[in-house]
Order: sequence, then structure tokens, then C-alpha cells
Amino acid sequence: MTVIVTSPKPGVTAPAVSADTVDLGNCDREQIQYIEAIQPHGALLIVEEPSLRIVQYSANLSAFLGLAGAVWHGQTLKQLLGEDSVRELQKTLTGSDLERTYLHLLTLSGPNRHDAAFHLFGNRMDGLLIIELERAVPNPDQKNALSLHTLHNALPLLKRPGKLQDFLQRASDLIKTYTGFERVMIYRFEPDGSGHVIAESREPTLEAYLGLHYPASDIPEPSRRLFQHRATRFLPDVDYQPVPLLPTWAEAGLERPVDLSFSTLRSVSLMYSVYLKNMGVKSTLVMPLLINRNVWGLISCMHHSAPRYLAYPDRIPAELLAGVITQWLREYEDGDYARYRERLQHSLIRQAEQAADQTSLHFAAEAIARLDLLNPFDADGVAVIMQQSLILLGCTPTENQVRQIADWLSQHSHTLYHTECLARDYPPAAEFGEICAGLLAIVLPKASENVILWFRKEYPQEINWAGNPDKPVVQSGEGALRELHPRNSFALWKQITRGRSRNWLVCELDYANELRQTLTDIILQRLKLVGDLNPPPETRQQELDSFFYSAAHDLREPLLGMRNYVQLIHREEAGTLSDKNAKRMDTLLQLTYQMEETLKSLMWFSTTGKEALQLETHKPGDLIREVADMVILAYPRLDIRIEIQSDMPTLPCDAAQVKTIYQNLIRNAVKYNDNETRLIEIGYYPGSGTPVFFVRDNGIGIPAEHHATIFQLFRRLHSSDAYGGGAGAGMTIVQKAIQRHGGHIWLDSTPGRGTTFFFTLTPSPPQGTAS
Amino acid sequence: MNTIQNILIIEDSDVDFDLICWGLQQIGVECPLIRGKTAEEALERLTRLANDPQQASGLPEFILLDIKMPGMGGLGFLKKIGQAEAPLTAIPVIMLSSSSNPADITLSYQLGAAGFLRKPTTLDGYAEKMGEVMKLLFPS
Repeated sequence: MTVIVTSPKPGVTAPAVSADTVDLGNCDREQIQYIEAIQPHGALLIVEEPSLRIVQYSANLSAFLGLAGAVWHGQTLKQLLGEDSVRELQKTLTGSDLERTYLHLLTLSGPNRHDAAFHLFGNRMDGLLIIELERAVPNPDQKNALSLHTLHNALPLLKRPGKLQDFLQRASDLIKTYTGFERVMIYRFEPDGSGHVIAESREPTLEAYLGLHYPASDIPEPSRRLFQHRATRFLPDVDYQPVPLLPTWAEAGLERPVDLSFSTLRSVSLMYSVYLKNMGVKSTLVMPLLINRNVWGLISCMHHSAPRYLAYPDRIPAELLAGVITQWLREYEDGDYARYRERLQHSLIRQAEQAADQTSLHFAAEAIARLDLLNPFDADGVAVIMQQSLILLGCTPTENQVRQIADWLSQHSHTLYHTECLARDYPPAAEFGEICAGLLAIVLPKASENVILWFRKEYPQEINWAGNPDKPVVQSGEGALRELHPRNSFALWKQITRGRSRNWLVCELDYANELRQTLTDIILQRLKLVGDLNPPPETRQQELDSFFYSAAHDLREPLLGMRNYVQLIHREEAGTLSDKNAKRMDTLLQLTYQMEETLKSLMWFSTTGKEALQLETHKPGDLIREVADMVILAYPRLDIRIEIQSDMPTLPCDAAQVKTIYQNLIRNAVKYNDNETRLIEIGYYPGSGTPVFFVRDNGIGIPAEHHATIFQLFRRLHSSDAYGGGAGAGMTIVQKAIQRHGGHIWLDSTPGRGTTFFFTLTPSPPQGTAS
Repeated sequence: MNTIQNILIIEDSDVDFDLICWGLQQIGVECPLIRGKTAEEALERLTRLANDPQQASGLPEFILLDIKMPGMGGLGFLKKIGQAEAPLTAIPVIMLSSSSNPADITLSYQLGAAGFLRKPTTLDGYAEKMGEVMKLLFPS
């Protein structure tokens, strides 16, 4: 096979591409519009105007026209075609704009007045007129030819309402039926230049390529550019013998090869023909689908069993059909998009209503978390984080991974974020594998607490190619070009798109953004509402504390008044009161003490724990002695013995609170004790780094089931008048004071034998450091 | 002590006024005890007496003053008295309050109080506290 590749464009010093050096990587450098060769099913002339002198001509010119061999360079068209034909041609030429367009100029009979006639096509390029000749022979396979009335009948069927996909499938079926090619594929290009087979009609024996994707390099940029110029590329026989132009551009005195971008006969790229051969294709007809001069896609007709020549009149209906498909394509595509957008919009409204119906933030958040955010949306998975709760639907990373993404998003103060390749912005995503390549996320108020994330799988994971992916790659073809095969293209495309998802559509971003705004409004409204009625818990606790304090304080004053009056009456009327009433007055007095005790506890609770600890180094021994003496004084009629270990350690603590701790523990040890002599032992164990203090008594003991209850506020184990009464707050106060120091309290007790309370006043050392 | 003409007790609480009186009786005070239920009422009476030479002898020997009262309150009263004319500024004022707020104590002395005493919490405390008042005013 002759290698038909470039003479590089002057000024561009790219190395020549040959069969041995060409590969998919240098495809883009092959400048096929400058190939100085054509296919043999026609002949080509390049002439100067207005002299119509022939500058270059295809080597097959004489044979094609049935003339004796001659050197046509330097001769005129008149000498080649005869005066009459040239006169007719000139008439057409003056009335046609041939700059950058390719037109059928006229149909003429051969110079020998043969039956066989020729079609003349032409365009102007670089100041030269390029004329192509094709034989006007009827297609021998007439039954497949599209006639105008069958085309007319087919169109209403083609344009049925529905999806783009279905429309294109009908279109490819129609083209296959009327052109007689064994395979018709419709390709669609992505913005990045890659493409895929979106519709396919084929003979059942042929391998399916529907769904096949290939990288941008498969149809290189120069080829795609050429499709913008030329309506149709026709290759009747892939094994054709290329026909060179005579003489070469240099010999013809040209500055460079003539640009054959608009030529139908132009020899094809080596790459392309090898590709087709590797696929087992003998003939192709390719028509671009152009929208606004951009190549949206291609209609590619292929014949596998034999070369297939479709004469010019038979190609016209196919080209018209391609034109109609192009026109309607946009409508179907817009329709698909509009339907999808409408579906999103519809669900958006429903979702907003569901969330807005809820009166509280909590319920609104719950409603949002329950929204169907996956069904209307073209995503593989969705994660909703609302008020700390997390819901995963479909294909998503793990809970932990999702939370980490949410944290990352809130750190970057994104409100709307989208990517086709999360790992590029967020490297940990590389670990998610194919599950989550694309991410679309909206961040609602309160940052990482409220986030909605949609995930899209890696693109190749979504593809369902109709072909058999396990079939071994066909190794035909020559040299480095044997790799050129759709199957390899697909593999390469998969490699290129690894870790990337399909692009997010504008309507999807719009939907997400609108959803974000709606939900944000709802959340903020609820937050405000909730904020008015319910301050944050800390504030509520503070208010409660200050309420308790002033209530207790204000109750205490009248209580003291009552008590003083009781005492006053009792004293002044001592002689006149009956014994019964005197006793009642006593009880009344006791009740005021009991109530005062409760009020004091309330005041203690509402203030202690809020103020900072006054940590100073104290000798607890001194503090304990002081407290012990006070307790002994309070029970002058009881025999109380308090033994305090002499070497109590010094440590930083709040003196007032330590006194409170011991006061309550000692008082309880005295109160809950039936012994003649109340023995109270106070000391400490060095412990493992933290001294453990203890208060031991020989009292009534505490049953094990009550060990937890005793620390509850206002819970008493005995009736309020047994064991000297009390508010039932003592142990709660003790526990709280200890906890404020970072320590903790526990006890060991045998009912009937006594109780030992243990506590620490410093945080325990971390586990493992204890010896 | 018997030379005491009268004592003005400015106290909004009936119970507290009653107990203060009881306390004073316990330590042998027998002079008339005049009550002002609010600082405003007491101030008006004092101003009237001070402006009328005929009645100037009706001015109290000393004043026992509560702080927390509706209206101008004890501290407001103290301020007005401090800004008043000669006979009124000479009357000793002793604060008798349940407040233990250091700011109240400091402010009271700054405004010219002769003493600051905490209200007792027990009945006997009232008698003791009144004894302290007498000791404070009549050290002999």
C-alpha cells in the first residue's frame, strides 16, 4: 500500500507521518487536507481563472474520461472538455459562490458524445478552481435508493414526539434502509472531543458498537474541522489505490499544496483507512450533524461485506435526510433537557412544600432528610446531613467519608460545589474508587451540620456497551497501526476518563442552587422562630439558674419572717398556749428550718458550678478540723468522735467547696447513725498519683441498690423527719463540688456496719500511667 | 438612752418593722418609734419638721434604714439627706439590710451612713442587733 500522507504545510515543521510512525498520539499532526491524492472513483482538476489553464490534475484523468493519455498540465479546460461544455460551465461559475462551498456545477456528456455522462462539482480555494468529476451511472442496486416520495412518507414517522435517543434510533434505521449500508451508527461528540455511539442499526451478524466510547484522538481535530466544511465524506472502497495529482505542487509552480478541504474525492487519512480495515469495513459514507457550524455528531454508514458505491443522485436523499435530522435533533435534545428540567423543577416545588410545612427546625430538618432527592435527579447516590443525622441513598461513600467531605466543604465555604473529578480537589476521594467520581453539593446554613451531596459514578462504570467486552482485540492491520480498533479506542477512552464522571448539566446546577436557597430560607426562618421562643440551651440553663436563685432568695425572706413570728408568739404566749398547740408551734418552727435548708440548696445549686473555682493551695486538714468542730457544736447532745489523719496532703482546691464537701459528709455520718458513739474516720490514700480522700462512719449503711440514688437532688432514702431530716440535696452538692474539681466520688457500704465515701479532688491521671 | 426623743425606722416590711421594734423593746428602748413605709414618705416628714422651727424638736435621734424598698429606696434616701440642710445632715443613719452586696456597703458609707448592719435571721438576733446599734451610737 502506498503511503498517502502529508507534505507538511509550509511553515509547519512537523515530521512526516508514515505507517511506521503514525499512532493515535500524532494523529492530530496529520494534515489530511494537504494530501495530494484522490480516490479513484472520480477525477480532479485544479485550474487557474479566468484562463481556465490546468495547474494540476489527477493521474487517472485521461482514463476516466476515456481519452488518450496526455499531459494536461498547462492545457486549458476547453482543450479537455470542449468549447460547448466550457461555455456552459462558465455560465454556472459566474452565478455561483464557490468560496468555501462545494457545489454541483453541471452534468455533461463525455467529449466523445458518449452515453456516459459526468457530474461536475467545484469550489474555489486559494484563488484556484477545483473541479471534480464523477460518473453519472445509476446505482445498480436501485431498490434501496431513496425516492422523494418515500422520503416524504418517512418524515412524519421519523418526527414522532419522544426522546432524542429514540429519534436517533429511528433516524439510523431509516438511513440504513434507504442507503443499503450494512451498518449505520450515529456518533455524538462531547465538548472534550470524545464521543460515543448513541444509535446503531446493523445487520444481525455484525458486532454491536452501540454505547461504545472513544477518546478525542480517534477522530482527530483536523478531521473534525474538515467535517465543518464538507457535508459528506464518501469512501466507496477502503482498499482503493490512491491517485496522485500531477505534477506535484512544487513542479506546478505553486507555493504549497492546494487545500482539498472541500473535496469529496480527496484521499482519506491513513489513520482512518487503517482503522476501518481493522474493523473489517470495506466502504463508508459519513455525514456530519452540524449545529451552528459545530460538529454535534456524525452519521456513519459502513459496509462490511464488499465495497459499496453510491452514485451522486442516490447520495442526495441521504444528505437531505441528514440535514433534516440535524434540524430536528436540536428540538429533541432541547425537549429531553426541558423534560428533565421540568421534572427537577416539579420535584423542587414538592420538596420545598414538604419542608416548609414543618413548624419547627427539627421537623423541617427531618422532612428535608426524608425528601426524595435521588429519584428525580440523575445521580447514583445522595447523602443528606441534617442536624447531625445522616442519610445515605443509592451509591455513596461510607458515612465517615461523607462526613469528612462535608467538613471539607464547610472549611472552603462553598455553598454550591460541583466537580466531575472530586479527587482532583479533594485527594482523599481517590480512595472512593469508581463509586464517587463526581460530586454536586449544596451547603445549607450551619455549615457542616446541613449538607446535601449527590454522587456520580466514574463515567466508564456507567457505560453499557452493546459489544462484547471480553472479545479479544482483532490484531490485523499494519505495523504500529494494528492497534487502531474501536475496542482499543474504548479501552483508551476508559483509561482517560478514569476517576471522572459525566458532566453536571446546567439545569442540575440550577436545581441544586434553587433547592439550596429554598431550604436555606426555611432553615433560617425556623432558626429565627426557634431562637425567639427557645434560646440556646446554655442561655436557658442560665436563665433557669438565675430564676431559681431569686425565687429561693425571695422565698427565704418571708420564711424567716414566719419563723421569727412563730418564735415570737411561742415566747410571748408561752404560758397561755395549750400543750398541743405549743407542740404544733414547735413543728411549725421545724418546718421553716427544713424549708430554709431546701432554699439554701437551691441557691447553692444555682450559683455554684457557675462561678470560677478559687483554687488555692490548702491543707485540707485545717479546713476539715474547722468543719468538724462546727458539726460537733450543732449536735451538742451526741457523742461524736472524729479522727482526722494528721498528714493530710496539701493540694490546690477551692476552700469553700472543700468545706461544703466535708460538712455534708460529716453531717450525714452523724445523722445516719444509731450508735451511742458516732465514729467518723477521715483520711486519704496516696493513690496512683491522685490522692483518694475518704470519710468512714459506723452508721446505718446504704444498701447497694441506693448507691446511685443518693446523689440525686432532693431524693432521700428516709422520710423527711427520720434521721434529723434535711433537704435531700447534701450528696448532690458534694458530688457537684467534687466534679467541679475534676474529681469523682464513690462509696463502699455494708448496711448495719457503716459507709465509706471515697473521692478525689483532681482529675485522674490518664489510664496507663498509673503504677 | 432615755433622752432619746424618737427613732425613725424606714422599713417597707411590716414583719421586719415589727421585729425591729421588738428588738428595741428587748434592750429597753421605750421612746416613740416612728415608721416610714417608703423613703419618700420619710423624707417628706423630715423636710417638713426641719423647715418648721416649732416642730424641729420632733426630728429623730437616729434613723434605721432599709435598702431594698420600692421607690427611691434606701440609697436614694441617703443621697437626698446628704444634700439637705444643717439639721437633717446631722441625724445619724444606720443601714439595716439583708443585702451582703459589697457595693451596697461601700456606697452606703460613701453617702454618709453611720453604720451598716445585716438584718438578723433569728428572733434573738434582732435584740442582739439593736444592742449593737446602741453601742455604735452611744459608745459610753
